[in-house]
Amino acid sequence: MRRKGWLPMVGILLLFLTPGLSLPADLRFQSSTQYLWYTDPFKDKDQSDIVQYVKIGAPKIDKAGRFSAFGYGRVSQQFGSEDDRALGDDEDVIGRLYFLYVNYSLPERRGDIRLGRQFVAVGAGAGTIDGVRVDLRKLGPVSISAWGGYDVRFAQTTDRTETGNYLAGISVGASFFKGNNLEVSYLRKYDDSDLIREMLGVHADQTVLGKAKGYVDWRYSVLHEADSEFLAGIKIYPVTGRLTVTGEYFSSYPTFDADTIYTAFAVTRYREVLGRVDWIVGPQLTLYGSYTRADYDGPTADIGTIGVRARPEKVSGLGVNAAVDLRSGYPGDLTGIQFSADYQFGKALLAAGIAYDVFQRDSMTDDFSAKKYWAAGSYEFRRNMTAKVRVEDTVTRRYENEFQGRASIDVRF
Amino acid sequence: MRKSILRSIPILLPAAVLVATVYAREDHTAYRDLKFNECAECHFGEGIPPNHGGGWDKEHRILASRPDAVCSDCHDQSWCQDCHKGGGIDAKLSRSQYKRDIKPETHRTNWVSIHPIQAMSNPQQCSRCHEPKFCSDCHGRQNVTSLTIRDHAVSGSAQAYIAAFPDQHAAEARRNLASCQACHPEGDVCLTCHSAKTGLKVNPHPKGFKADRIRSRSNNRSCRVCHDF
Repeated sequence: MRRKGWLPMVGILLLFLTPGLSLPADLRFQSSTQYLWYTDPFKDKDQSDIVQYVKIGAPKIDKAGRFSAFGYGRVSQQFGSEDDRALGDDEDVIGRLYFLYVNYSLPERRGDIRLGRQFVAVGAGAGTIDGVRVDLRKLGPVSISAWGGYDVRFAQTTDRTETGNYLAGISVGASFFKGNNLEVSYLRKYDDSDLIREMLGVHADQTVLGKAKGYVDWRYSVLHEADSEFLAGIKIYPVTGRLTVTGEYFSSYPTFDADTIYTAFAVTRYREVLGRVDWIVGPQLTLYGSYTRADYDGPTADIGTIGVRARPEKVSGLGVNAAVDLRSGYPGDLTGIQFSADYQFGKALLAAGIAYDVFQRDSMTDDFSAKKYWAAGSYEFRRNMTAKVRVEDTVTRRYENEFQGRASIDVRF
Repeated sequence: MRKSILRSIPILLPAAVLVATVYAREDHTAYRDLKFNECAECHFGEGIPPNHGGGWDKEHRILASRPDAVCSDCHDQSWCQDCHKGGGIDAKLSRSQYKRDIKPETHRTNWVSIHPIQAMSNPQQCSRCHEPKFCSDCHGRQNVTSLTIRDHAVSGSAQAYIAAFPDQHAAEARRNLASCQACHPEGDVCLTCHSAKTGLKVNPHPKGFKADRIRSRSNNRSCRVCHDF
């Protein structure tokens, strides 16, 4: 991460936390110090990292509670001998800043003004910016959100901002009568000061008597003058709160940023039709299942899932999850089963799971299988301090045993 | 015109206030520390349609992107970034990792081998969290001779495109262009056949391709690669 990008934002945060103003009455701090071990897939060698996460929050900096500030980031370093580090791709300390911003809340929750690094989303698209966001709510039935700034791009070891790379968006939403939501949004993305993406988003949904909900979501690439994504669906609640039946049609026409030649290449439209049922049988049991028929403008695929989540009343603290996934057709077949359980007793939590997948991609001549076993536990050994550990073994065609895991000490106050 | 607007204010203003009063979104901050199953009192007992169901990983996008979204009443941004950008300060014990990043649970067992099925499935799904560079960073470092790629065959220390079935290549590339981009981020190899300046000069554009807007708004940036201006 470019260190220069840190400094202005840290300065903004410090400005609001200096003794010149009143100290935050409610300062929150959360830390997770983690040791991770894994097999580097490129060097085929065991590696380990020390990672430090820090999240801070000052929800009430001034006496009136208008100003607040929040930040979240991590620092990591490959661990081990010089040779280990030299073989890895991360010889230096690597930092990642997820967000760091100051927020000013308008009276009566009528809106917010936010300055700094933040995650932003409108119907037309989402991203992370170093910039400003303004939300205005309670304008009658209307809400407005507008934001803009440097476009933060996350790669494997970096999150970079550069002059000329910008992201801006605006969204206007309204609810004119009960159960109704409308939204129109617009987004622009720049690279080296050239416009590379321009999107329009439109969303509408209507809930009827709490028994059904219809919705439409549409993303249009203004630059390509083409529908990028279209979703239409209906949810029916025959037994309100217990049974949800969903039917959806989805269409995707991939559009590429205009900084590559792929932006001008022909692509085909992907379509799918989905049916899904979510059934909350009772407080202890949830069942779900879905079927999707995917169309790739020629070849097709059938995808199905069934699953269960259970919290047996007779065994307090026990949770069980199981799911079966089936996929047949283009661009590959997959049959998978996953099972996990967790058990909370006192200040300790134990969890374990297994997963088994058999798959074959179109380019393969044979089936391949993969199994994963994992076990984990956490213990709150002091008030606001928790120790966690997770170990995992994956058996694949490449590795008879691929071990990875993490151990952490989490602090929260 | 001005008089019409002024006359309509006494009518519209009360209506707007009434609408705002009746249909203001519910403030969820008071429920922030509730256990998830306690949400049932309103969402099950009061006839308010539930969400956060089994398909929430796909469904949340639409609700979260609304300007009046209530997500921040219960979640801070680390909740979003941990899943979208691999953070792990509150990583669930059930979640696995890729090097120092924590993976979402949708990335199953042998994700390195399975992900091509998902990447070619819904073409724009991966890009909700990953920049194109994320793919090319990894693919660019791989020993390509160990890979099995449609319409490609190992040739020495590289993979060569098999030109025997151009229609098959065209159909496959159109379905999975993002997969091509993973190994060929700049599309250099495509220019062998698809440049207007050299090579076979095969037109790669879709039918009815409208170039004017892309050309004018992006400063001819991608067009210049293949065309002379």
